[in-house]
Amino acid sequence: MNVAMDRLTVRMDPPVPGKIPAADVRKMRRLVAEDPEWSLEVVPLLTHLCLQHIVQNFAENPLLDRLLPRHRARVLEKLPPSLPLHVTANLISEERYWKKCCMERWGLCDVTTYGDSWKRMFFERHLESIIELFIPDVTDPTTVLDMVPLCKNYVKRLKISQLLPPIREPRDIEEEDGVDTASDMGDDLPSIDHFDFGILLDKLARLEELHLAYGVKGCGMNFEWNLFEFSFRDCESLGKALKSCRTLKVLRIHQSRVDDERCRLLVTHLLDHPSLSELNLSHNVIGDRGARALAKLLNRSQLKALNVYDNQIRGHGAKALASALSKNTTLLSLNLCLNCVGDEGGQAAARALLKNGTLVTLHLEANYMTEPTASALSRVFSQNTTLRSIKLCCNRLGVDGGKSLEEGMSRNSTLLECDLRLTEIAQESLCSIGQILRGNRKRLQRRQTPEPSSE
Amino acid sequence: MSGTEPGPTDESAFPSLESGDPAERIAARRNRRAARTEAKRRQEQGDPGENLEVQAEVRRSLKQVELSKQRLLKLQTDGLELVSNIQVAGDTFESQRRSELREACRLRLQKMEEEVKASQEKFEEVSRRWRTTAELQIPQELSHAVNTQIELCSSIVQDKNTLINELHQELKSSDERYVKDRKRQAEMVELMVVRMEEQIKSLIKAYREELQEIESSFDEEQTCLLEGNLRRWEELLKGQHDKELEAAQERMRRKEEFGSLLQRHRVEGTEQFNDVKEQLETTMQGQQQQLEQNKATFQLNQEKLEYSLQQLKRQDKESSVIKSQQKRQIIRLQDTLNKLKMECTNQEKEKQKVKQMLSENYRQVTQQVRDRQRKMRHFSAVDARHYEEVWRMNEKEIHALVGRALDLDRIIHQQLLGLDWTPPDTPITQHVEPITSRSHTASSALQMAALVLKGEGRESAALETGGGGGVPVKTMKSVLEMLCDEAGFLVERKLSALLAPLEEEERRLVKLNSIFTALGIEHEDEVLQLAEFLTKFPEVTQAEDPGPLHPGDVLPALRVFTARRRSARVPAGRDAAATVPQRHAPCWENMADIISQSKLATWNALEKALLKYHSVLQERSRLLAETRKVQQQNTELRMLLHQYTDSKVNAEPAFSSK
Repeated sequence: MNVAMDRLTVRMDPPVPGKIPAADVRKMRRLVAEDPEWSLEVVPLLTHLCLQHIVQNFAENPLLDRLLPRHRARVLEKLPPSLPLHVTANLISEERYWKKCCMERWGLCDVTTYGDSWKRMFFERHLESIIELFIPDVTDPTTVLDMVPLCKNYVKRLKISQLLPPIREPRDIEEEDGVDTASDMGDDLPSIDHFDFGILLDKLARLEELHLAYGVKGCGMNFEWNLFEFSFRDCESLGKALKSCRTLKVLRIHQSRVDDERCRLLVTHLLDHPSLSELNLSHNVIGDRGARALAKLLNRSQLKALNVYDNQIRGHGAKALASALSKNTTLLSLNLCLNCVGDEGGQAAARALLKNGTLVTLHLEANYMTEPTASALSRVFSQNTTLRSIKLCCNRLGVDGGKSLEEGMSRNSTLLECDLRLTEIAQESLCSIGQILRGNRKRLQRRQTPEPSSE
Repeated sequence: MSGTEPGPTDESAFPSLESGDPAERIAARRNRRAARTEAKRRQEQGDPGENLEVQAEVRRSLKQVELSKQRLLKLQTDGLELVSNIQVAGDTFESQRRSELREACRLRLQKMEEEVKASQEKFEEVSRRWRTTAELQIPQELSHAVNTQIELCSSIVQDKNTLINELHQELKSSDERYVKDRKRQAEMVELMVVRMEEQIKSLIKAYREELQEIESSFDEEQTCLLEGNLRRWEELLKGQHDKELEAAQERMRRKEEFGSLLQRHRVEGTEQFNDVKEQLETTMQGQQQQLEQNKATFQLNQEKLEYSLQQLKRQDKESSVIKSQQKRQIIRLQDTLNKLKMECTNQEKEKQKVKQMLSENYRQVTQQVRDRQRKMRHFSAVDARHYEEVWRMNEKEIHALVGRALDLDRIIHQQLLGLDWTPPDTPITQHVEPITSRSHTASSALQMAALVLKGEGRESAALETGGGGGVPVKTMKSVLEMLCDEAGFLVERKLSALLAPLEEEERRLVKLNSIFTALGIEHEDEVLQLAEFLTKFPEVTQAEDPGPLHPGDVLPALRVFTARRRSARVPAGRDAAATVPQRHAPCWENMADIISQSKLATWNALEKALLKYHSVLQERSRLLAETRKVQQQNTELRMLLHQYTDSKVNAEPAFSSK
């Protein structure tokens, strides 16, 4: 700083402090540090003027590729984030510009969840917001379609947290007031369909993740059941759209009241999908038939993780899933948490685990399982060597069940995690199981630690 | 090795391998061997305590890290459990609630079914009654029945209402419960958040602590290492110090040694110096004296030299004057010399010109002389030919005249006189040689020589005709060859050089040519004369041994020959012309007197008679001619008469005329 000051004082005319007191504060100062644009030159350089002009007229005449690198950087620095996207989307790849856009629009952002790409973040969130605010029959679908050519190269994930239903006539609402929403009555009613993904998904060539929630956020006291309706036609169109989207890897449809029929419909479209590896249908109302459909899907896809947390799968569905699991060789994680599988399903799952050699994680919390399941699982513990983690919380396994589990665990050397909270197991059994688990973990660590040293 | 050794710092105490002292190096090697065997022995004995201890000592920080990792993992899992406990509890509650809900639902459904059944019965009863009431005719009964029906219906309705009320109650209670659940869940969420925050805090704290501990362990290790290194360093330093001290002592000792040595040398030096000094002083005094003398001589010499210098200067001045004068003179002389030279060259040129002119003249004159000679020769030859021709012509004429005269004499004698004719006794047809016959027949000397040298047959004939005498061809040839060899000095030198490539015979010929020209020999007879002279020369001079001519005598012989020739040539040339007429005069007189005086007198008388005869003959011939003419006239007239008579035309007239 001092050096700079000296240099500046040398270059400037002799300073005149105090001669013209406070005529212009800026003129009084030798250096205006807080203004990054401040320059000693009274007459700006022609290049600067040109660059300024380019910046001002960027929307009409986007000149960037033909500029010199340092000029390009300067222009990018000065470009306002309010420029129309059709100009900037495919022209500017500079992260700083997109960071500016993101910051201006959403304030504080976490770019790490977007692969450290501000541009991706901007376009994903922009598209999400467009879809989330899309009102069928009111909003022109071209607003979405116009975005497609601009953002198709950058969007990898869509997290749609709400989908607005079409605006109804008040009459319809009155008519529908007393209707049980769970039934399939949308057919004879005027359209209650949401945004049709069929027009979008096949065009997003890089889409890998899709998170959907057919519902309205923050409806407050305006709550109506039909705001959360996942209509049959929605399901149909979504299924077709998913089928057309060949790059999709993760699909999550949660809190959307997906029932057996809709689940079956979706599954028929997802069968033999080339890339889908993770399916999450948590917080829905899938029953046994849906579970059977999912079981079918398990062996006709590359699914690695299936999550049906908080559904209504009972013993039969669990049996179907278990029989699929016994033949499956791809699934690594299965989450059946908060269903009503019961002992029937639990025992079926345990039997399947005796045959399965790939499953690593299994969640069976809160499934009304009791002692027979525990004894079946104890066999699994003693025989299965691939399972690493199992969760059996909130099942009334009982003291005897705990003992049988302890017995099974005593012959196990691969399980690393076994959650047995609130299972009414005796404390001693828990302790001994915990010790075995710790021993297993240590053994694994010891097996892992020499490896890097040997390398 | 230093890693497993308990005290790597001890190594510095041991003698170093890199030491300069060989003994120390040997000791170091010995130590190393001992240490190795010791280590091996320990390993064999299985002394793991120390090793482990070392391991622990070395990996203290790593162990600390491991411990911290474990502790943190435990903390994390505990924390996770603590947090997830709430979720599990929530799940439990939810599942309980659901089971309760299901149970309640089941009960409700059962109840409702019962109710439906009951109300169905009642409804059936009511409907059954309707049929009976339809049959009733009496209004009272009908009203009664209607009333009962109303009662029944109202009871049904009441039942339904109670059910509805119950359901409403349940709904309300479930609503309340829902609200409660919501509240509880909210509390749980809050609790969860709180716990998470706590967990985060505690985790951060734990991490910090662990970090600090790890750092402290690292620090400790570092300080330990530092201390060890420092100690080692100090020891090394000490060793270095000792060495330096030793070196310093050594240096001091050497310094003293060298000091004493220096002192001794210095004393010796001063002594030497004094000696030399004295010596030098004495020599210096001597040299000073010499210097004084030299100075005196120098003074003297200087004065002398000055004087001579003055002299020389004066001389120099004079000589310079003289020099200038001489220079001027030289210049003058130079000028005259140049002038003379010029004149000389001019004269030379003129003389050259004159000489050239004269030589030209001379050449012309000689040329002219030669021409004259040639002309003279030519003319003499031509004259001789003319003379000969004239001679021959005269001779022929004479011979013709003589012949005619003799013929005439003979005719006169035989025909006119009738006498016998006798020819005169002198040979009239004798051939008279002309004077120049000799020069005409003689070939040139050179041709003759060539012939001699070439062949012999023809030559002998030629020699015989030449009448040279008895010189055989062989001797002639040998003489010529000798002449050729001996009289080489007469040949020009250039010619001999030019002749070298020619053949022997030709060369001789050319040489002889030049010799003959030098001797003045031109004709064949002269050659013969020469040859004869040379062959007879010894006789002339000595008259003793008539052998072949000795080569040494050729030169004097030639000299004698030329001398003789010179003396003989002048008269020989004159009487050649005078002798010829004398020799031929009688001949010519014979010719003139071929007809004698008697004959002439006869002839004169004869002539007179003949002349008379001739005149008679002439008269006769004239008469003869007259006769022939008259005869001719007669014939002609006869002819004419004949013609006249013969012609018919003329017949009549003729008759007439007749």
